[in-house]
Amino acid sequence: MHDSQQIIKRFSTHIYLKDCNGVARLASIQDSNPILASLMQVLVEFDPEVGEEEWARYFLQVLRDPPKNYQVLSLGNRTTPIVSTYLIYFKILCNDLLFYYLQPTCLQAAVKISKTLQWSYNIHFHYPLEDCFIIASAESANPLKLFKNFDVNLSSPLNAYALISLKRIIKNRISQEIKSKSIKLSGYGLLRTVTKKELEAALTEVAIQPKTIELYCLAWQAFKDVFEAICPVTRSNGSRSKNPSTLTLTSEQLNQIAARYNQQLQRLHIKSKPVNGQDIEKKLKTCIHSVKDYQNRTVVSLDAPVDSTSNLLSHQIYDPLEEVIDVESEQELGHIREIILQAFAALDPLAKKTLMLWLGLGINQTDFLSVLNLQKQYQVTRQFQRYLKTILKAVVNSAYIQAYWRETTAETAIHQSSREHLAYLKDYLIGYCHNFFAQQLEKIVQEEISRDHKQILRQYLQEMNLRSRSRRNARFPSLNLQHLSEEFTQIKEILQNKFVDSVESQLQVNLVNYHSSDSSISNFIDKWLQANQAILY
Amino acid sequence: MDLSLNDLTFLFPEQLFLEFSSEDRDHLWQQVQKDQYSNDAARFNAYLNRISLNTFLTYLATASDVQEHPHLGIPDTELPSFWEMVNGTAIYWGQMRLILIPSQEPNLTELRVPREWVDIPNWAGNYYLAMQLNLEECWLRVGGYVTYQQLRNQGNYDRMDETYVVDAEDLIEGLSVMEVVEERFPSQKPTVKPLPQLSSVEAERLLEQLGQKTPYLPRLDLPFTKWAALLANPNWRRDLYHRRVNQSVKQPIKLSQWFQQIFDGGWQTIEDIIDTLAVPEANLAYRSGSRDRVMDVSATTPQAIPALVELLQTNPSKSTRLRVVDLLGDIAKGNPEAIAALTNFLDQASDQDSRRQAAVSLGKIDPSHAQAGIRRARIIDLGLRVSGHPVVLMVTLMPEPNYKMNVHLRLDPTGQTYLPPNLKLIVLDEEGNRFRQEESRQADNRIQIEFRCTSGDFFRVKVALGEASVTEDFVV
Repeated sequence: MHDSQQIIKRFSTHIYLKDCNGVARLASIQDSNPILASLMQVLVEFDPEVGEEEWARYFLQVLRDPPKNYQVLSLGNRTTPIVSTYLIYFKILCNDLLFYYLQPTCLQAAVKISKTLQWSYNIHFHYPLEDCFIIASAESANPLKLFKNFDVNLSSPLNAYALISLKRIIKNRISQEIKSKSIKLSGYGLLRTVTKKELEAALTEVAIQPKTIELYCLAWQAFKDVFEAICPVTRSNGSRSKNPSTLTLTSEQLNQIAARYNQQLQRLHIKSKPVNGQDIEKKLKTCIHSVKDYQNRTVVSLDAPVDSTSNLLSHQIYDPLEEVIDVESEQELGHIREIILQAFAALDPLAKKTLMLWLGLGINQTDFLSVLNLQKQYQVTRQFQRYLKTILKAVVNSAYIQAYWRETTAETAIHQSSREHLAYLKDYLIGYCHNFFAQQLEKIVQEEISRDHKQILRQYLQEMNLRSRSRRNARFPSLNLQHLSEEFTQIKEILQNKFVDSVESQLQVNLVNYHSSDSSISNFIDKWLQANQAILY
Repeated sequence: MDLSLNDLTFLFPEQLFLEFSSEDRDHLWQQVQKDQYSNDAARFNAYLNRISLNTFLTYLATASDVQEHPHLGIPDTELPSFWEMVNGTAIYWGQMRLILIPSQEPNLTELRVPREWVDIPNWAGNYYLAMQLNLEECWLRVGGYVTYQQLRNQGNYDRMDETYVVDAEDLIEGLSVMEVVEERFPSQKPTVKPLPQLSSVEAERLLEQLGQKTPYLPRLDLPFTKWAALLANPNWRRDLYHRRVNQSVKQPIKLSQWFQQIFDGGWQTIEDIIDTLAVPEANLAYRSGSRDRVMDVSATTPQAIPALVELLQTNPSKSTRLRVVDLLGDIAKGNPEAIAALTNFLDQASDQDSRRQAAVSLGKIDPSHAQAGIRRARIIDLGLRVSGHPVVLMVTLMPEPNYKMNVHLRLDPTGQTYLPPNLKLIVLDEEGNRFRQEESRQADNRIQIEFRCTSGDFFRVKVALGEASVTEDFVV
């Protein structure tokens, strides 16, 4: 029996992030959509045996292959008059249900990427958590596209697939936007470097019809075909005989492109009039303007969220950096975790030590250069990839996975599931390493921090929480925060020193050699204290 | 802000980033210049593939767990016959056949695999790797891979450029998953639908058609099935390659066409060269003022022409007169007074430098004049042998009486004051005999050669430093 309220909530609640000044963190606010909630209420009452994952797969199936006859709607071939009210909108509703279902996954993806970005100050500054979440949410608004390659026959959860894809989408979007803004290209230089995917998206954005987009793309392709002849690369670093951004095409060159375009019209049997050089120039100019506008657009913004005063269900504030990451699909993963830990334990001491510090405390990869005897940060990345590959190998060689693979013959499914195992094992190790350090910290707090000091820590944290709420409600009094803050800092410093001693002795490392360890450990302690205030009593 | 290599590795920790040295890059550039290709598009395609291949092979040979060394499966000398036709390179690694697909776009938004690598039975691979190159910063990013099955089943077929396309989000990042799965399930040769057979008569007809020089890769000039059937046969592929490159390689640059304003790729005006290289023009220019200033003069003082003409006729200073000659070339297009003054100066000047400059300026303002000269230049990149700075080869043509042509060759440094010592400028005849040679010494800021020839004469110019060299063929 599944928790019906939980299922209803999952498919009808969306999240938006609210800035809580004063505590330097975001609050995630959950809003309920009453229409979707009532629909889900009806559906779960029909079939209480169906869980979240099955509902989500069912809605995806409807989107992929809408029932021809809308009379057959419920999973158990049961229909009711209430459901029939929604028949006509059912496909749209399935889209919305999946969008809402994916909201925690979007937040989870955003949190993970945001955590990764914190080591690159530049990017983190430009792309905070909110932007990452907006990008993920915008993408999940079209679940059909997001899951276009998802194999419904795979046993891996929809969420796990979505999480990997959304993380990748956020990262790609960020890198594309930064690249587009940093490379000051214009004119034909812009057109030369754009990909067809970007060009099609840009042309779609300016509402050019799909049939016509094909012709613009063909003009662009003809341009690309002859571009090297017009403006060849003359140096090993890729620079060209002329600056493509200030290049002007002569009528002879435009005619050459037009001839190529007309030739390809014939090959492709596209029914359209042949063009001349002037027509080509117009088409290329349209492409340039569209791409320029497309690249200059602001980060995607979602439609305004549901009216928060009328539909607000919960003002619950939680720390997404902690809470969401702990969300885990209810699968039988115990033995896989065991294999991960065994393989991790079997790594050489240096590998274990460095992975612990990197995954558990978030120490910057560049800090491992000397200990791993490497010169470049990307080499450290590769070294960590190798360590994780060793663990992945142990996982996929396990009897459990082998048994699963014996049942599937699809090569693609094996690669997809291995990709998910790799993502899972990394997340699991992050949690494991994090926990390893958290236990040490808890021991220190309980055994070595005095009752008075604990009280000060507690007061400070409570005050910060109150302040975050008073920002919204403007009615809470404030204490002498400055004094409290100074005391908090002093106690935290004591705590941090003891924690550093403990880590150094446990792992046999000298943390002074890791330049980012000071700030990493400080962050770690802040988050731990925030999440474990009960231990301070 | 821009993304550094470090930023990218933070953003994409599961992907593989490989660096190559600028020396390696320059060496490969030289290698590709020496190989034969029918056009600049194919040559650049070869360059991207060559760098990706070498960088990736070096990585695999030193850093992978797979015991067997990666290899091409064909002689290295065969590669140009692939790159003349299509983007991509196949390698074998253990039992796997990997297809490397390089791109140079700043954004890795998709993997676009030419259909040849998927639908030609002997070409298909087990895995397709997306490789993004940054030539300026010297790094290669392996953005991820797809399997053959994924590409066929989930990739979008784009008929416009005959490719299978996978979004970057759908690639499997890094190579760890591939290596681990491969260990358990070694790859089998993909099953690819056989292609229709081509008769030798039809193949010959197609070879004849595609053997013609085009400025682009010929792959979209035929319906795909015919093209694929032609390419699938290694003999026909080689035949096509030889037809295309032999036709073009033996074509020397026709200098007579320069007077009709027809120039082969890479031959530019001095001004364009300066723009391209973004270097101070002092070393390159025959003129002594800056281009901006000249532009100002042309824009504001067309009435300055009589004054300049008078200056040309009366000023005793050679450098002043040269500057005036240069300015008139820029601002006096079609002006009879200037044309007459330059013609007169050309006839009366005793030194060749002044005459040559007057002929070039005359060519600018009256291209059809019998004494009009022309000057074009090309960047010659000899790699790090010249401290990373290319040199510029200038060719100036000046008509002389009795259908003779005065040819002046000059090598100038860029980005530094002097040419590197021992840089050679060599002129050879049709049989390859050396008939003129100049070599730079310790502090030469240019070297030059001047000679006369008649219509139809052939000569080859070779610029060489140590083992690196670049040659250009000309016919008058």
